[in-house]
Amino acid sequence: MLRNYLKIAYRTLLRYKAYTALNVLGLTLGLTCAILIFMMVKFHLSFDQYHSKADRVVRLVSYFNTPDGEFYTPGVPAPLGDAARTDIAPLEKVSMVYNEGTVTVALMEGGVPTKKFKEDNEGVFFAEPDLFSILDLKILKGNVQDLKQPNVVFLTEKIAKKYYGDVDPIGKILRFDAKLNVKVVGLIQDLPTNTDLNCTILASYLTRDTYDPDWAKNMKKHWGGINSNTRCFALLKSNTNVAQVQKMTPAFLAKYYTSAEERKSRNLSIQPLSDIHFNENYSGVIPKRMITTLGIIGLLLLITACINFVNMATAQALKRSKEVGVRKVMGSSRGQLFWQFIAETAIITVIAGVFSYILASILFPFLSNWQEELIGYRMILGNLVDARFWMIFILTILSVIFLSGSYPGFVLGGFNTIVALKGKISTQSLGGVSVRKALVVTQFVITQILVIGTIVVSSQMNYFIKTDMGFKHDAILQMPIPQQDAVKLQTLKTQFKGISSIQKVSLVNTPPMSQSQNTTDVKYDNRRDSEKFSIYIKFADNDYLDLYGVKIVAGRNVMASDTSREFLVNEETVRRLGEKSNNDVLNKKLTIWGKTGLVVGVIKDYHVMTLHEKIPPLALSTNTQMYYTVAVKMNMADAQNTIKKLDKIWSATFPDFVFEYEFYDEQIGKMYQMETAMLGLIQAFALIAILIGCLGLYGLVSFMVAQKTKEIGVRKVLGASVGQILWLFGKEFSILIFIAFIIAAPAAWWVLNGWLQDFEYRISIGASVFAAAIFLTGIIAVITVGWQSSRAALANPVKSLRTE
Amino acid sequence: MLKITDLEKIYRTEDIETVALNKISVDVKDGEFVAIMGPSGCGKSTLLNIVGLLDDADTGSFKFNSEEVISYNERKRADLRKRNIGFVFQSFNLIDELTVYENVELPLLYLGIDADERKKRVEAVLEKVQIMHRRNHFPQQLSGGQQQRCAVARAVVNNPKLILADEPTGNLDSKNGNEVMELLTDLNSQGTTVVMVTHSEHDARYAHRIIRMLDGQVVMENVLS
Repeated sequence: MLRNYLKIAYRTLLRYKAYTALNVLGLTLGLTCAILIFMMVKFHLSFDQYHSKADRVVRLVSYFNTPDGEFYTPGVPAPLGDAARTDIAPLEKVSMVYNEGTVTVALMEGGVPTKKFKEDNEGVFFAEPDLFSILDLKILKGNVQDLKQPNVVFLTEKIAKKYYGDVDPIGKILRFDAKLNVKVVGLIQDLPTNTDLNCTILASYLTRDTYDPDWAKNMKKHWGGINSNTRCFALLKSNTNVAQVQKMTPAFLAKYYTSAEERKSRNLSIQPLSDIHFNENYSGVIPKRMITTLGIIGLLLLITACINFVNMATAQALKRSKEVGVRKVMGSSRGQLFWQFIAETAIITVIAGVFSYILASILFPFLSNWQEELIGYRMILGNLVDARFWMIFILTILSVIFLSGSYPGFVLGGFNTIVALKGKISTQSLGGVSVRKALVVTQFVITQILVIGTIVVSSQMNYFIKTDMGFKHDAILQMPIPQQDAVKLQTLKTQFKGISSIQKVSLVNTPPMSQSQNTTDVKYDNRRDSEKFSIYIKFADNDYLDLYGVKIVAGRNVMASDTSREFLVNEETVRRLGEKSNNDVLNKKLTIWGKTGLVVGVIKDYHVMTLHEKIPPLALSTNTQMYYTVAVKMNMADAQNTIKKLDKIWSATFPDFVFEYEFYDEQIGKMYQMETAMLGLIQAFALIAILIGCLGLYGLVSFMVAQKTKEIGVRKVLGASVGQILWLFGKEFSILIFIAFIIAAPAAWWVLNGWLQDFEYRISIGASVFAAAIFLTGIIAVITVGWQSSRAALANPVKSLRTE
Repeated sequence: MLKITDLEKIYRTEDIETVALNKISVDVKDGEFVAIMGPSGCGKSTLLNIVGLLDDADTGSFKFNSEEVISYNERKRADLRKRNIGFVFQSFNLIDELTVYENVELPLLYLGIDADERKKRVEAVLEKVQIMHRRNHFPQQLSGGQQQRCAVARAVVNNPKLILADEPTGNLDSKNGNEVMELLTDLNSQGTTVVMVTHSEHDARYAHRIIRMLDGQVVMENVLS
C-alpha cells in the first residue's frame, strides 16, 4: 500500500509541477533558514562546553555597588588567586589568568629580532599551571611544571607554525613589546573555535612580573585596583556547587576589605563557565536573548513555510476530490487517505529537506565569514554537523511533515464520497474557510512583525549614524602609541604635521567615544568628601578638542603640558556638581587620581559611550604617560599614500613594533556590531519570510482564480467592470491583512519597545512605522495577487463560462 | 440479498426540504439483474448511493444479506463495501495518475491481498474485459469504451456479490455501450447480482426486472422474460 501511496504521490507531484515547485521552494527556504539559525545557536551554546569538567568550572568576577548603580567587571583584584586558594575550601583548583590585549612579538635569533608580529585579538595570556587542571588544554610538548618559572611560554600549534614553520619551536626566544625575552618551553594543541579563551601564546603567570614590573611593584598585592583583564578561573570540588561558594564570598572579602565603605561596595560573583559567553555584564560576547530571538525567528520561518504548505495543499485538495471519491468507493478508510496524504507531504518535505541541507551547506561559509567579521568567531561546519544535528534535523522534518500534512490529510479524508465523485467539492467544504483564513492571517502577522522589526531596528541604527555624537569622527585615522616617551611623541607629532595631507594631529589615551574607559572618584573645590558620583577621565593633548571638533561652552582649552595641571569638564559634570552655570566651575579645584588642577573650561556634552548609555560626567586633562593613541585628521583624497607616509614615520619612531591603524568611523561601527548583526539577520529573515509568504499567496490566489472562473464570467456578462472583478480578490486579502495588522502591531510594538529600552538614546515607534508596515504588506500582496487576478478579470467571459 | 423497507431520505437546506426517497421499499434477490429507471431527480441515484453504502438514509431499514446496515459507522461501511460491492459509474471515475493495471489493482490493495495473488487476479480480469494489451496505459490514453471496460474490471476484480452501475453506458456510443452491457450480463449470469440505474430503455432490457421511480417512490415494476 505504501508503494501505491508513494507512486501516486510521485505522479501527482509531477503532474502539478508548479504546485510542487512552489511547495518545495517555500519549505526549502524555511528549512534552510532554520538549519542556518540552528547552526548559529548550536555554535554559541557549545562555547567552552567541550571541557571535560565544564560543569565544575567557574570564573570569579567582581561587581560594585555605586551611587550610579551596579558596576560589573570580569576582572578581579590581583591577589585574589592566592587568597581564594587558601580561604575558599570548595575550590579544588584556582588559576589567575591575565590577558594582554595586544603584544608585539619579535622572533629572536642570536639576540637580534628577526621578524615581528602583532598579536592582538586577545592572543597572549599569562596563566598559572593550575589552568591545565581546570580546562582541557592538551600539552603536546613540554611540562606544565615549567610554567612555575618566569619568562617562559607555551605556544599553540598554529602560532608555532606561523613563527617557525616546521622547525621545532622548543628553546626558541621571543621578545614581547621590545622589552622582555621569553623562552618557548612547550607546545599546546590549538584551541577549538568555540572557546572564549582565544589563547595562542600562554606565558607563565610569573612572566607578568617581569613583563610589567610596575604592576608587580604596585598592584600585585593590591586589593584596591581591578584590571578587567586580570581574571580568575577555578574548579569546584565535585561535591559542591556555585551557590555554596557564592555564600562564602562576603566573609571572604571582609577579610581583605577592612573599611565599611569598601565592604559595602565590593562584591565577588561566582560565574559558571556556561554563563561566560552570554553574560553582557561580564563582557559576554552574545546575549542569551539574541540566541532566543534567533531561535524564535527560525521557528517563525518554519511555521510560515508550514502554513504555506497547508494552504496550498488544502487548495490543491480540490483537484483531488475525484480520486478521493473513487478511493472511498473502493473501500479506503479515512485513516488510509490521511496516511496517503502524509506520504505525499513526506515526499515534498524530504525533497525540500535535501535541498535545504545542500543550500545551507553552500550558504554556511558566507554566514560564518559574516559572523567572524562582526563578532570575531568562525564556525566550522564539520564541528556542528554531528549525531545530535541529524537527530534534530530528522525530528524537524518529521514535525514539518505532520504539521503540514495533517490538516490537508484530515480535510481530504473527510470529503463526502458522492460530492467528491461528482467533483462538486466547494471551497466551503474544504474543512472550513475560517481555518485557512486564520492560517493566512498568521502568515501575514509573522510577515508584518518582521517588517515592523526591520523598520524599527533600521531606524535605530540610522539614528546611531545620524545622531550628532557631539564630536567629529570622519577622516580620522588612529594609530597606537606603544611607548609613552614624551620626546618621541612630540617628534612624531611634528613629523606627522609635516605631511601635507594631514590637517591635525592629537595624542590621546582614548578617542571621545570608545569601549575602553577609566572612571574614578572626584573631589571638587574645597568640599571635604569626594563626590557621590564617579567621573569618567580621559587624557589628551591640547589639540584634541580641535581634531575631534568638541566645542567649548565656557572658559578655555587646556594649555600644553606633560602632566595633569588643568582640567576640562563636560556640562553633565557641572550639573552633577550642583553648580548653576558653566562659569561657576571655572578656576575651581578638581582632584582626580591624586592630581589636583584647576578647571579651565567646560566642553559641550558628547557621547562617551554608545547610545546604550547616558552621557556621564567627564573630565579631560593632559598627561603624556597616558597617551596610547595618536589621531590624525587627514585629507582622504590620497589616503593610501598618506597612510604609507604615516607608516614610515611611525615605524622609524617605534622600530620594534608593528605599524597598524584604524579609521575612527570603523571603530565606532564595531561598537554597534551586535546591533549590525541583529539588523542583518532580521533583514535577511524578513525578506525570506516575505518571499515564503508570497509563494503561499500566489498559490492561494491561483486556486481562488480557478474557483471563481465561472463567477467572474457570469459577473462580466452581467456588466461587471475589471476593477469590480479585481476587488473580488482584493476585498478578501484586504480584510485578512487588516486583521493581521491588528494582531501584529501591538505584538511588534511590545517586543521592539522592550528592545529599545536597552538604549538610553532611542527612536520612538511612531504611527508611521505601522503605516509603513501595513502599506508594505499591502504592496506585497497586490504584486503577488495582482497578476493572477487581473488575468482572470481580463479573460473573455465566454471562455470563463465554458469551464462549467 | 437487498431488502429495503420504508426508506426515507430528505435533503434539507435552511428554507427547503427535498424528499429524495419517500418511504421506498425494494427487494433484490441473489443473482438478480435489476434496472432502476425514472426521470432526473426521481431519487434513483440516491437509492443507488444508499445501497452502495456511500450515503445514509434518514429513516427506514436496509438489510444487506439479512443484516441491518443502516446504522453502520463509516469504518464498517467501508469494510462491507470493499468486500461485497463493485461500482461502475457513467463517468468511469478512473484515477488519472494510475495506469489501467493499477486502477484495477486498487480494490485488492484495500483488501490487503498479497502481490502475487493481486497480479493473478488483475491479469485474469483484464483478459476477461479484453484490455490486457492496454494495461500500462493511463486512462487519458484510452477510448471511452476502454475506460469503461477498465472500470468494470475494477468493479469485479474482488469478486463482489453485488455490482452497482450508475448509467454505465451514458458516456459511450452504442457499440461500446452494448459491449459493456454484455459484460454486465455475463457477470450476472455467473451469479453476481447487478443493480443498474439507467435512462436507456435499451439497456434496461438486459435486466430481469425494471423498477420505475417517480418523486422518491416506486411507481411500477416490470418483470422481463
